[in-house]
Parts: sequence; structure tokens; C-alpha cells
Amino acid sequence: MEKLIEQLINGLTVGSFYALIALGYTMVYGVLSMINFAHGDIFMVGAYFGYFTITQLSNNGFSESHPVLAIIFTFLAGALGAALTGVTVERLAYRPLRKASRLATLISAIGTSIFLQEFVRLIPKFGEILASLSIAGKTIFPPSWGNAIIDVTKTFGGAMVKTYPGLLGTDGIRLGEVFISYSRILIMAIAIVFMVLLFILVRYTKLGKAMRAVSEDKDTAALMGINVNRIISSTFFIGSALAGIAGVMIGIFYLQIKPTMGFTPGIKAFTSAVVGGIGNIPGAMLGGYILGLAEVISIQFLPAVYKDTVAFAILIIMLIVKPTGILGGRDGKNKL
Amino acid sequence: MSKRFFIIASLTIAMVLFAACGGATPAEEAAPAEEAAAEEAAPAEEAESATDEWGYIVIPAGEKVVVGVSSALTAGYAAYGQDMLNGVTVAIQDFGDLKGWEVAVEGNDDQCEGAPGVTVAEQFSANPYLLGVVGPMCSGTVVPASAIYGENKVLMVTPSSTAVKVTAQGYENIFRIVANDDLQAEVAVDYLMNELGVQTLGIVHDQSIYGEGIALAVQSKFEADGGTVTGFEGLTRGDQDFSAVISTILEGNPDAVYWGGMDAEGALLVNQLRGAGFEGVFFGPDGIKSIPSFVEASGGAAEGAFMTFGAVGGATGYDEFEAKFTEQFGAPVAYGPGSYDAAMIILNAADAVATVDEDGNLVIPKKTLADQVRATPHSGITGYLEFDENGDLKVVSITVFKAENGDLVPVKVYDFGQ
Repeated sequence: MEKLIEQLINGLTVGSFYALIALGYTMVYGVLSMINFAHGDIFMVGAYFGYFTITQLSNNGFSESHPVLAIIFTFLAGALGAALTGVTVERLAYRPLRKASRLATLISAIGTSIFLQEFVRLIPKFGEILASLSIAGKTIFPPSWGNAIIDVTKTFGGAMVKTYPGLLGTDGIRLGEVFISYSRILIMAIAIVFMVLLFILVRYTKLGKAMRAVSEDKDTAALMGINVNRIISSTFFIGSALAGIAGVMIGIFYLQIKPTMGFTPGIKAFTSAVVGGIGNIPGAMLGGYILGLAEVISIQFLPAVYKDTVAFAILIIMLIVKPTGILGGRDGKNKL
Repeated sequence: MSKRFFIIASLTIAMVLFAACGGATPAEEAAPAEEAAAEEAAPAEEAESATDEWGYIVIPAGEKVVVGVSSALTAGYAAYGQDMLNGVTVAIQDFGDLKGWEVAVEGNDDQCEGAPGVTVAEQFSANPYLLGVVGPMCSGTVVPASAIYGENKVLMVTPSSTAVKVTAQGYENIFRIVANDDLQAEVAVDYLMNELGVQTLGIVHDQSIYGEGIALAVQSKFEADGGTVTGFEGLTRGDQDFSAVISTILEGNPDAVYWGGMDAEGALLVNQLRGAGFEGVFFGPDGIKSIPSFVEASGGAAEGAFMTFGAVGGATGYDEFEAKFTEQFGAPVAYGPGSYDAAMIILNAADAVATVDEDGNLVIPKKTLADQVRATPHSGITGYLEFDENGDLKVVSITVFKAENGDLVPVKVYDFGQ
């Protein structure tokens, strides 16, 4: 029994990650009816922005004197970095193709995903090239700037795994036989807080109302005086910020980040969004938790190596039985 | 229309993921190697020359002689792979010219996987100026890639691949300068039972040829010596959350957990084990003998962990090597010294058998080169290296290390074959 409770807590933690990332998929699908396959990599970029911030803060001793502030700054940096990346991706890779076929946008999304991965992997090389750029034998940047560029790009990315400083430790509380670490509690709490905030934003604010209007019918929304492009940018901003927060959470909780880290969580989150009903916000959260719990419960009955098999079997069964997802609309067109 | 498209797209993505996650199973990876081994048994008919049945490496004046390195240079295991490349780089600096020909190192990224490793093997085999290959780093790479190296008679010396199968395939051009996993498992079980008093053991592995292989070896030895294995679970390389596997393993309440796998997942596993309240012994193989990518990457949780490692430096000439290496790349991680020795073995053998022909080309007979490697004992910085007929070392030692205060401290040395 205790083990089952422990496994359920494990499942809820993993589910929190899936749910936070799934929200980005679902919001973009709700507004644009497109699947943003670069979303997993935006999540990765968020983790790297957080890493850069936390290493700077721990280098000058700030994270030791103000640990709570340091964690908040790290989350802010991760969220903001991912959000700006998401908005830029939409502007450059998706908006020019908005009138093109769905296939074109899908391919553009996959291309963006590869670009982001390789960019983060190769950024130290990019920094070296930038620092050595020269016109007529003189480098464009003075040597001190050049070194600063190399330093920054080296700290930011690269092919090697980066390790977050262990901020939370492995302490926790024991409830009878069940042990829960504080970091788990923090992760679950942060995820729930942001999901509630998002729900309130979409349901009860003017921006949320505009988003729902664009989701319902872009042309009519434009006729009602809504700036559709701005709303789409905001959607990408918010969805990507949530992915960035999930990225920082991964860094703080699991410590290791690498350029390819976005792939598996991205696909799992996409599965969560589909299971919950893509385009539907509570559906994405529900789907995330269902997937997280299904993975750990499957381990009770099957060897652990079948975890992914179970997750994707759920996707396939869902697509056959109810392609619109658990909370999806009956007509197959989901709205925010 | 849109619904159908959506379903197809989702299923495609799901399938891509299955393929990516699963990788090739050991059976699939082993198959080509066995085929090649069968071909090997037939007499080599395509030999061009009467004097060397494997043919010659011919390097014109002005070209560089290449020593290849096949290791993981990106992602999770790059700390090990980069260390190997650095070790070979220092070896080439120390060796200098090969009869007046400049020697260059070429590192290729095999990602510690089968398929990319085969591509690297094909690229190296197609390089006419290639003298030999140091690596591949991982057993999961060596087993499929050795079919290509075997077919093309490329001299291959691996400093780090420990699976028993590597040298058991009958190739005459494949050598290894580290103890195999049977010995590593023997040492691990002996240390666990007799030094640490462990009676119950939970085993986790990463489903690779290397990780699962050593995990199975530890399981059978531990049970043969009267211990109880309370759980045996696999996890997926590249995953980050192992909590479900950990809960299952801890259900058996083991004294110790043995990890069959590499540094990246090992660091996460020990961190999450401690996070789940596990207070017993954590023990692993050479795949976690790394300060930056295991001890430091674990966020402090690796403190007190044990591991076995075969290629410890410290023989004659090691101090000079370490100084030179550290100055350029920082402290060696794990297989840097072994890779130095592997490169030196290749270069010294080439120096002994190479000749310059009338046209001014450097000529190296391939079979003579491999025979030279097998026949000549080498005093390396990791110790005395002499090969048996399989290409394994006659004399090896394995050291048990313990993580203490962020460092790895040797606690016991086991010698074999003396």
C-alpha cells in the first residue's frame, strides 16, 4: 500500500511536467489548429536560460545568500527566454506559412525543432566565430568583448551535458512508510499554481476572452476589432513561458540538461494533450496526469521497460476510440 | 480530412519515438557481427598481394597519417569520449612523426550507440590514410562496428569496451587493453559481499549490451556466492525520471543497489535513490568512473558510492603524461590514459613495420601490423600490456574506487593472470 502511494506521487510529479508542457501544445492548437512540434525544444531552451542564470547567480555568491530569490530569478529567466523564443519562432517560421497548407507548417515546425537543438549544441562555436570576425585584419569586437562573447556562449550551451547546481538537496518528509522529498512537493505545487493561473487568465480576463474568440473563428474575431496577430503572439508567449518553467523544473529536479532533452518530454506532452483533447486546457492537464500515472502504474504489472509502450498504447487506443480526446468537443473542433 | 491527417501524423510521430527509444536490440546488433565472423572463416580471397594477405596502407609524401578515435563526443557520455580523444592527442604529440610523416588524430562521434558507430566505422574504413582506430568507446558500439572493422582489416584497439563478446568474435585485428566484464563482476561481487557485508542486492541496468551484460554477470555471480538478488530492472537511456523503477527496486529492501550502465543515468539514479530515502551502498562498473559526469553531476548524492575500473594510470611515465594532459585539457576523467596507451601501441607497431617505397610512399602492411601489435608487449602508462591470441590482455588489474569528498579514491586492487 505504501509503495502504491509512493508510486502515485511519482506519477503525479512526472504528470506535472507533462501537463505543463502539454498546455503549450493545446493552446497553440486551440488558436491556430496546428501542432507546434518545436514546443519540446522551446522547453529545452527554457532549461538552458535557467541554467545560465543560476550559474551566474551561484558564481557571485547570490544564490547562497538569497536562495529563494535565486530560484525565482531562475524561473523568470527560463520562462522569459522560452517565451521570447516561442514568439520569435511563431513570427519567423509559422506566420509566413499561415495561409499555406497544414503540411507546410508541420514541416516548418519539425525544421525549427532541429534548428533549436543544433543551435544550442553549436552555440560555443558560433561565439568563437563571432569573436574572430574581422574586417581588413581587425576584429569587429575588441578582444575583451570577444572573450566575453566566448565565455557567455560557452556557459550557455554546447554538446556536453550541463549540470544545475543542486539547490534542493534530497531531504524530505516521512509520512509513516512513505517518503516524499521537498523538491517533489515544490514541483507539484508550482505546476498546480501555474495551471490555475492559466485557467483564470483564459476564463476571466479580456486577453483570455480574445484568445477564445480567435480560437472560435479568426475572421469574425478580427471583424470584432481583435488584433489576431497580437493574440496569436500572446498565445505563443504564454504557452512557451509555461514550457520554460517546466524546463527549469527539470533542471532543478533532475539536475542534467542537454540539447536533445526536449524530444521525449515533448512527445509525451503531445500525447497528453491528445488524450485530454487537444485544444482544451483542462484536457491537457488531465491528460498529463493520466499519462504520468499510467506510466508508474504499468510498472506494478509489467517490467519497467514497457513504460513508454504503455504510454503510446494509450495514445493509439484514444485515437481509435475517441479521436477528439477525453474532454474534446463532439464535432472534433476543439476550442480553448 | 483534417481529422484523418491528424491521426496519421500522431501515429507517425509515435512510431518514430518507438524506433528512437528502443534502438537496436542486442540480438539485432549481434547478428551482423556473427555473419561477418562466419565470412571470416573462409580464406581471404580478395587479398591483392602475395606478401601481406590483408593488403597495404599506402600514404604518399605530404599526406598525414591518421589515427582515428571512435567515441561519444556529444550528449550524455561526452565526458568519457572527449577524454579518449584528448588522450590520443597527447600520444600523438609525444610520438612525433612516423618516419617523417605527420600524424593527425581524427575523432568521430559514435554517440555510444550501435548505428552511428557503424557509420563511423564505414567512414574510417574508407579512409586510405587511416593507420588504426582507438575505440570504439562502448561495447554496444564495438559489437556491431567490429564487423565493419573486421571486414576491412582495420586495426582496432579499444581502451574501454569491456563486454566479454568484444574479443570473443575471432577477429585478428581487434585488441582490447582493459579487463572484461566477467572480471569486473567478479570483483564487484567479492567487494560487495566480503568487504561491505552485503547480502541482498537490487540490480538496475540500462538495457545496453554493456549495461545489461554486466548486470547479468553480477546477478549470476552474486547468487552463486549465496547472496539474494531482490530485484532486476531495466531503464531507458536518456530518460530522466527513474522514480518508478526505484520504488520497485526498493520494495525488496536491498542492502545495496548495483547499477549496470553509464555516468549520465548513473548520476540521476543515485540522486533519485537518495531522494527516495535509500541509505544503502551504491555500486557500479567503469561506466560511472568519472568525477565531472558522475560525482559532480549527481548533486552530492554519489558520496560514498563504489565502482570498479580497469585502466588505472600510475605506471612509468604516467606523471609526465598527466602533467601534459592536465595543462591542455584539465585532469583525465577515465579512459584518457588508456587511450594514450592504445594510440602508442598502434604508432609503435606502425613504426616497426612501415617502409618507404621507391616512389616515396609510406607503406604499412596491414596483417604484419596486427601481428606486430599481438607479438610485442608494451610498457604503457597504465601498466604492462601483453596480448593473448584473442587480443585480450594476459595480465590485468581492477581497482575498486570510492567517492569521497567529491573525489574518487582507490580502496582495493585485484590482480588477475599473474
